[in-house]
Order: sequence, then structure tokens, then C-alpha cells
Amino acid sequence: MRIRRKIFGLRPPLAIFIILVIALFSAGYLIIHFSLSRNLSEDGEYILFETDFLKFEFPRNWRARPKWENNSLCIINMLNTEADSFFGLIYYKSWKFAQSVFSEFDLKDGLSIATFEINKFYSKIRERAQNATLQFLENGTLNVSGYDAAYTIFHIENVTVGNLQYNLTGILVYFLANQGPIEIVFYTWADRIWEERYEVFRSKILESLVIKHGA
Amino acid sequence: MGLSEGMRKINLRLLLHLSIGGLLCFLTLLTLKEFELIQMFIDWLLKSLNCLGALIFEEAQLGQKLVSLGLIHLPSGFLGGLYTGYKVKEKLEVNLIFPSVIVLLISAIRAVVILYISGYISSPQFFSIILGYYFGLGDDYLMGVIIPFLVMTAGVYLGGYTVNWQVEERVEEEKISLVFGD
Repeated sequence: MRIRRKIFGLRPPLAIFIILVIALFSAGYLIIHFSLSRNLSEDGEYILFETDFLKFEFPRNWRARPKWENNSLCIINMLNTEADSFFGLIYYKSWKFAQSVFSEFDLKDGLSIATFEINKFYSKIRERAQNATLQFLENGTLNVSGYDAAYTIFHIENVTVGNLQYNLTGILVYFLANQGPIEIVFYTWADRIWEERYEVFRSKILESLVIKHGA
Repeated sequence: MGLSEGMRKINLRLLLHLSIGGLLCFLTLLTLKEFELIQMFIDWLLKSLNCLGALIFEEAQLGQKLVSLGLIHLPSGFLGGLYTGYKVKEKLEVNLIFPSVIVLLISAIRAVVILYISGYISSPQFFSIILGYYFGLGDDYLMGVIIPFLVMTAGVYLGGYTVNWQVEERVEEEKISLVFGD
């Protein structure tokens, strides 16, 4: 009778199974680790994310998703480490598409577009939370990557999801790059610490945002 | 007549065990994947290692998929293979393919039901989604269907042969000394 040997004291198929699990897990983790280490900032605390049109840094432990992109749009979104704030960026790749979305507005009037987008967001919230109320706290302009950007800080009270009720505070920034408009939104539902969260967004993400030449 | 009845009985029994094996694979897959147990573990691990943000990169997504294959699809197949291998002893090299094929079929039926419930059944996208996802006409069929299926099949074979691996323990040879005392 043929002798079938054991590997590490285990039946060979079981040993191969364990080795495969460990190998797939290790290979997966190493790929994640190397893609991270290739894109870290100089101090190692931030990830440098770059596309054909823009680049920016964000904290390395933010819960990011891969960018979604088609011929007209590029969308990037992520949650912060504490999962109490959302950051989103929409880049319109073509003026034609942007015109079709904002057909009733003059694209150069950034403030009215920012207000329009917030109202659209608010009306979606109102579908689920009838008691929600919207306040515009501050309007103005700021400099983003050399462009004058319009911004609006807003506050929505009594947002309900299931049994939870909370208030949202956020900012929407809108500006026109050479190739198309860019919208950036940041909001938190832990509105008591809005200042703290906003400071991270402004000083780390917004200030590191660079729109590439020609974009 | 008696012989064909006997054959039918054996085939039905085989079919039953292969189906249970496939169902076991599917239920394990569902538990690990849909209830996001493994996803929560991966998120927790990446967060602990301070590299959750790396998932913005496509190659990191590939890494995450490899981890999922190792922790979801391979163990699911292995578990189904253990049952199938325990109950089915003949023609393992052929029979062990069926549990993962059954999982693929159940997953396809489940996708159709979900699309039906979501109202996609009447939309023109319905067949393109099904064909795309299950017959390789879409973008992500390789990592979405083909590779998970192959990994699960490998798991089934490893599970099946683990149960049926015949090991003959080596008998310790007695040492006989031919050296006599003075």
C-alpha cells in the first residue's frame, strides 16, 4: 500500500488549505501596504491622492473609497477616522455636462450654485425627516489652489435616520477650474465638534488641494 | 428494472449530498460575505494598522479582494468540501466540482430575485446585468465571478480530499541490536 505523507503533521490537503489562506491574506495585506507606502506624504501621516486633474492629501486612516469616474464626472468620497464626518469632491470634466446639470444658473455665480446644491441635499433629507430645518450660517469666498471659490456653511437641524436624531453642519465649496467646475462638500453629524473637524478639513485637505495646470 | 431503480437511488443520493454540500458552501459564503463579518474584520485590521485610507487606490482594492478570497471563498468551499467528501466517496475528482457550480447557480438565482424585487426585472438593464455579471460580459466578471468561483472550487477539492486522504502511519521500526555483550 502506498504511503501518503503528512505536511507539518497535517493531511496534505488541509495543510495546503491553511497555507493558501495565509498566502492570500499576506499577499493582500502586502499589496495594500505597498500601495500605501508609495503614496504617503513626507511626514507619513497623510496619503497623497493624485488623478490626471488634481491632487490632495488626506489623513491615512480615513475610510476612503476608490474614485468613481466616467467621461463627464469624477467623484471622490470618504469618511473620517471617527466615522462622523463626510468629505466628497465632484469634478465636472466637461463644461457641456456641467451646463446641462446647472442649466438654470450662470456657472460663474458660484454662490447660487452652492445654495442650489445644499437646497437639493436638504430636500432629500426632508423626504425622510419632515421636521428638519436648514440655516445658512456663512457665505463668502476663499482661495483654493489659486482659484476664487465660493463657499457656504450650512446647518441642518433635526435630521432623523431610524430612531436617531442629529444635526448636520457642513460647508460646500464651488469653483471653476479651467476644464470644468469643482464642488467640494464636507459635513459632520457630530456638530458639537464642527470647529475641530472643519479645521482638519480646511488645513489638511483644502490647503493641500492642487488643480493641475491645464485642468 | 431493478438495476435502473438501484442506479436512480444511488444517483439521487449522490445528488442530495452534492446539493447539501453546495448549500453549505453558499450559506457559509452568505454568512461571511453578506453579514460583513470578514469585511468588519478587514476594516478593523486596516484601521488598527493605520492604513484604511489606502483603499482609495485600485491596487489596494485588489489586495482587499485577495484577502476576501482567502478568508471568505476558500473557507466556504472547504467547509462544503468537507461535507461532500465525508458523504461521497466515489469519483471525487469529478463529483467535487458540483458544490461550487451549485453555489454559482444559487447566487445567480438570488441575483435575479433581488433584481426582481428591486424592480429591475422590467428594466432594459435586467438582462445586461445578469449576463454581464454571470456570463462574463461585464467589466468585473474576472474578480467578481470567475476567480471567486475557481478559489471556491479549490476549497471544495481541498475539503473533500482532506476527509478522504488515506494516511498510513509509519510503524516505528524496532531496532534489533546484534551487538552482544562481552
